[in-house]
Amino acid sequence: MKCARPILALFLAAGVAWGQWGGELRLSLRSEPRSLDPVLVDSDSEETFRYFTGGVLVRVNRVTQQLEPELATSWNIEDAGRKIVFHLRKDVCFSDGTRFSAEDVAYTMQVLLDPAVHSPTGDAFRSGSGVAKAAVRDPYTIEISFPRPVAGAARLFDQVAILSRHSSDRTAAVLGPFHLVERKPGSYLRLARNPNYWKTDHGRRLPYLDAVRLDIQQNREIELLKFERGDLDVISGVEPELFDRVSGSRKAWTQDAGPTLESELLWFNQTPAAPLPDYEKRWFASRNFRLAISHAIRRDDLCRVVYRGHAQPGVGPFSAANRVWFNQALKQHAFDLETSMRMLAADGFKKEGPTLKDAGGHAVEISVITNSGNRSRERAASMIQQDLAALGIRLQIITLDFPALIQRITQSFQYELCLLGLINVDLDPDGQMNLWLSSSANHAWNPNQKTPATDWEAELDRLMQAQAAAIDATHRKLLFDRVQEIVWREAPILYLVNPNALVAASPTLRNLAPSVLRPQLLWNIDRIYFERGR
Amino acid sequence: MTPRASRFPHLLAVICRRLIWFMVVLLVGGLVGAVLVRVAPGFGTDERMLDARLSNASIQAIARERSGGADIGWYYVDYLGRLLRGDLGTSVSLGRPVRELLGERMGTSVRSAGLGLALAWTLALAVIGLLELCRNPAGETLASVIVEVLLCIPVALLAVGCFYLGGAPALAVAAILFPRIFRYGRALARQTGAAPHVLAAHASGESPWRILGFHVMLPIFPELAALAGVTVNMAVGAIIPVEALCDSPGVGALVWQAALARDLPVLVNVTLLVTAVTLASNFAADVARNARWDAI
Repeated sequence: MKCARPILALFLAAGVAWGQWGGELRLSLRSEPRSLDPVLVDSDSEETFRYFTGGVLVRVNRVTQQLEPELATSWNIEDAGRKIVFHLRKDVCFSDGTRFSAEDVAYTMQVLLDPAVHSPTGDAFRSGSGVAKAAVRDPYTIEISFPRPVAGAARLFDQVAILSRHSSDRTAAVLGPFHLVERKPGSYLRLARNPNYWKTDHGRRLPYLDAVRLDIQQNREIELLKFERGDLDVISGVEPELFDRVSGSRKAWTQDAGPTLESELLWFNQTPAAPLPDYEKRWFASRNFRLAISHAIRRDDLCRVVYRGHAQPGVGPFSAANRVWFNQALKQHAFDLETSMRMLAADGFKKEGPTLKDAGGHAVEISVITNSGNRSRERAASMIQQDLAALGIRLQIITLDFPALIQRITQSFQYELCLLGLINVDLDPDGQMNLWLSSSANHAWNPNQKTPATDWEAELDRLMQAQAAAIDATHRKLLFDRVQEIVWREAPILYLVNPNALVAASPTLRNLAPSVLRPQLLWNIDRIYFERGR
Repeated sequence: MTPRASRFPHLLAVICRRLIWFMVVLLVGGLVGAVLVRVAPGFGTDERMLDARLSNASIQAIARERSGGADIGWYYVDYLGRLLRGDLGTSVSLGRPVRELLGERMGTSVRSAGLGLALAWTLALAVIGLLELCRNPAGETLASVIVEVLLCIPVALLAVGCFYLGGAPALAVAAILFPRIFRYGRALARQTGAAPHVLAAHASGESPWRILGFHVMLPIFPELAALAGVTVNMAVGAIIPVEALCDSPGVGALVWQAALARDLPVLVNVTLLVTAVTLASNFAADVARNARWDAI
């Protein structure tokens, strides 16, 4: 018995160092995946499923934000950025036992780049002048060529789950840590350990967990209730109010991982075809008016009251969480009513009693639309309403369900201001290309322009195109810094706050390293384990 | 010719008229449902249209895909043609055949609604019987208070409350139906229990159980059967918010999701399904109400 204790202690210590095998991790998806095809991923739920099941050539480490080799052991850029060559890992098998080779990567690219598929991941590879092409050099070397130099091409492959050319069912043969074994529509997905997963720990194949159960759970209150009852093991993206509630519990391990890449933003409708009075269009087209509104908003209060301190004031297209691309020289538009009034006065606005009026005598009464059901956003709208009242602006809040909101901002343009969130899934500025290009349908404030409506939008177009083709990282950073400066100066979009990544997990889970990038808590799913196998 | 045989052509005519009426209401109900979805703000849009990664060509393709059904008249005629061949169409929000979606979820909803109905009826009949046997004013008052309180609580709140207490959706359905069944059933039982022949039976010392069974419950059976038909409609109506609020994977949750996504194919099919169930249960209720026990 005397000998047994040190041996037991040694085993326990070894267990902690190596991780413990077994157990089922339970978490929820906030919507039912429309498709489990990794090529067609376009929602957070589908993204999570792909992350757990798909094998990729390279992976962005969610903590260090650096690219790391996965199925590709190395890669090199050739032909002045027009080609990227991946050298693949040997002796890797899909979950169905078939061998992985460069042919599978070529097949994946062929499927992904099919113009009829309309894959968001595939669209990222497209440029105005053509599409990428894949060519097999040898069984373990693949070459991807682009019609023009593409900066940061390798990181695009973080989103590309490699398909098996031998399997017609794209969920049957995977290279990720788990594979799908059961699906009950509307209820849950069950994933089991991929027996052929290529990563190992001390000679034994990862992942540590036996299975993952993904419950489809749209109601966040119910999700938290299930977590408190022990029916779920982790929750990511917890709302601030619920986070504070669960933080006090001894049954939960919680962490505020800091500001995410997500932004809450407000923009003005500058579409010429919008059914708005001309004087209102003139207000929104005025930089002074937009900046006056921005300076009248108390961003610190939004963070403190609405997000209970779990957010940072927004500055520009990226938050400080993006270590590479955030422009450190920019600061938030400070709350300053005097500056606001001065800017409004410069445009002929004046306050008559409690009401602000323009040079033509029109009272400044505007409305903001936002989506219903998002409590933080609705509260933020109320606070902005109070802030603008100090300027004499009467703001009406209109909450709409998502389809009605999308119709207004993309088709009828029947809105004045829109308050919405932007989720950046990509660290790279290229991920925001369609937001900044004036010709894009997602150029929020004035989409689908034939020619840029303003000089600064023309400048944005030029800079975004130039940074996308610039191979030199320093030069690219300078170009995108300039984009951020223009957006900050012209304020077509007001960045309000960057909410923090709030996560909660069972205290028995180990190896958790929350990240501000998605999937915030489970990015290293293959190395997470329960302290005691369940 | 016996009286029963002479009634047969008349009965056949009634059934035929009913069937024609059934078909007309079904078709009009489906069309009205389709029109409502079509004119709802946000029809033809998709959350994917806000995905900044998508190219303009992809966004346009999604918009084209979602605008199917813009000409609602043509869509409905085409849909009915496909329906005759057993094709219910494909959900635009979930990208899967509607037949599969309904098939996967129908069992859950039928189970929840059925269990809820059974629970509500059992409880209501038990309480009615107990009150009729005991004739205790305090018990009567207590039951009335509970029923009134349950009737005052909004359906959504009942559903959430049941879920928070760990109850299944069936419990919420039962909590919604019980007060309605009880109130109507108790009024009928009280009325019948005060009838002269029942009072005479009591005076003659007949067993209270026998009085309850033969003189109170049996005479009100047709009305209760009619109420059963109506409660099926109520259960169908209740299951949609209950499943949506409890995140139960049934047809109710599917309908909720489809309504939020303006998913025309799913909503038209579910409208037809609900209309058919409503018509069938109303028909059963009418038959029960008009039943002549001497004719059976």
